[in-house]
Amino acid sequence: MSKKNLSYEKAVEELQQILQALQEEEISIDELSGKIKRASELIQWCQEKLRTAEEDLDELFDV
Amino acid sequence: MDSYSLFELNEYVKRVLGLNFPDPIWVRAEISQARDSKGHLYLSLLEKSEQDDAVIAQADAVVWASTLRKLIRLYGKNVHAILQDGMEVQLEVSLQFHERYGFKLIVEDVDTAYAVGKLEQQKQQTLEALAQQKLLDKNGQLPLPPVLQRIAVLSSPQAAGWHDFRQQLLDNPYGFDFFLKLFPISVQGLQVEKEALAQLMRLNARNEKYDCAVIIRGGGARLDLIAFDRLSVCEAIANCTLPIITGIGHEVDETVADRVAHTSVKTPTAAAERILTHNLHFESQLIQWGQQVQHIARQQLEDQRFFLERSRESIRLQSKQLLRNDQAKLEKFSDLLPLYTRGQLQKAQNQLQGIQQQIELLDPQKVLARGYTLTSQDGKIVRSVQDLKEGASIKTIFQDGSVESTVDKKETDE
Repeated sequence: MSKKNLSYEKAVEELQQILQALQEEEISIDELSGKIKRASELIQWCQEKLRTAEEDLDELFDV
Repeated sequence: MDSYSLFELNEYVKRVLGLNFPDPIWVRAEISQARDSKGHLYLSLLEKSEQDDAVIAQADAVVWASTLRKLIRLYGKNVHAILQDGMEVQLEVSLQFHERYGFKLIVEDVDTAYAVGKLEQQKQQTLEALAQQKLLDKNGQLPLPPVLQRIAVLSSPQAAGWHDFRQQLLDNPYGFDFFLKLFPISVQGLQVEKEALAQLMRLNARNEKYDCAVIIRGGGARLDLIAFDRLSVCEAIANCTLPIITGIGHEVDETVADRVAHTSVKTPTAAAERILTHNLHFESQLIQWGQQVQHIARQQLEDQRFFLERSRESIRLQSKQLLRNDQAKLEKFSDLLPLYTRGQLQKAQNQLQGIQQQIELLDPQKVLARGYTLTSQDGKIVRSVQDLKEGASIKTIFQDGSVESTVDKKETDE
């Protein structure tokens, strides 16, 4: 799997973890706020990245 | 010696040939070369030995422009695909021997079914070979990354397919962005195989830079796609380290390449659609997770709030209870207090009374009233007999007066 997609995949993995933690464990109110924020961050990051493909200059100019 | 002139010989051969082959015949051969010149199509035909691939027969043929037009009218685009280098064909030809130009076959008709049949044969052979090597599903089993953003495209730069594909992705209504790189290949003719193999190899070498590859070309004759039935190309696709999506414009009939690729769609446009849908699915999954997180968090928050409320209520009730208990104690105490104080008062009063009684008892006047007397001598009270002499004057005080007397006799108690 390529490096860039590892970040989408890592984001997904972390989101799943947060979701699971929320569903199974007892999370204190303080932690709750942190988790929500992090989930929101991850989702936003993914959505922005979907709309901004990085240009691979090596590939662009490689013939 | 009787000898023919060359012209006479050739003329004779021409007549013999004409007599024996007055009508066109069907012949099977392989086209080694097909060259177009001024609208006429010049073919080099040959036959190879089945054992060792050595050429055992050879002849030249020509499809005159008018014939070519007729064939295209009759059979459509397949004609171009059939009359190509490397194709095995069945042609209806009239034999011509020209004194000057020698032997030539004039093509009158083409058996398209034969070509298609050969194609089908090749396809089946390729499929079997791939099945044996367990390559049929290899590419299909590669996991698709969650987002298809960096895409390698194997296509012809002039092909409409490439431009359509590119346009659709770059102008998509969701705002998704892509990095596309073209790995150019011819999409028809003999070069396809070689070029496809070369590009697939290049792709494997740099697979970490891409999420997937697409092979696309616009629609055309089914026979144009024969390169994609060839074993070498299909092996390369099957072994590719990136998942491959094919959109090579076949209308009805899949190629083997379609079978071994990870995903096969009909057109380049469909390929672009597929990619967009894939990414859209990812995004909606993200949003769904986001909503789930919010929902659960809100739920937890509500639970906690409820718990707090209940605690508050519980504390309130308990403290009310405690207060009530203390109040009850106080009330009880205040009820007892008067009793208690009254008791104390009573006690004190009794004590006073006791003391009063004692005092009364000790009151000399009361003592005198009981019959006791006080004796005094010279104004001092006499307590003891010893203090008195016989003949002394004493005063005896009674409750109601006094008597003066003289001591006659003294007696002491032992």
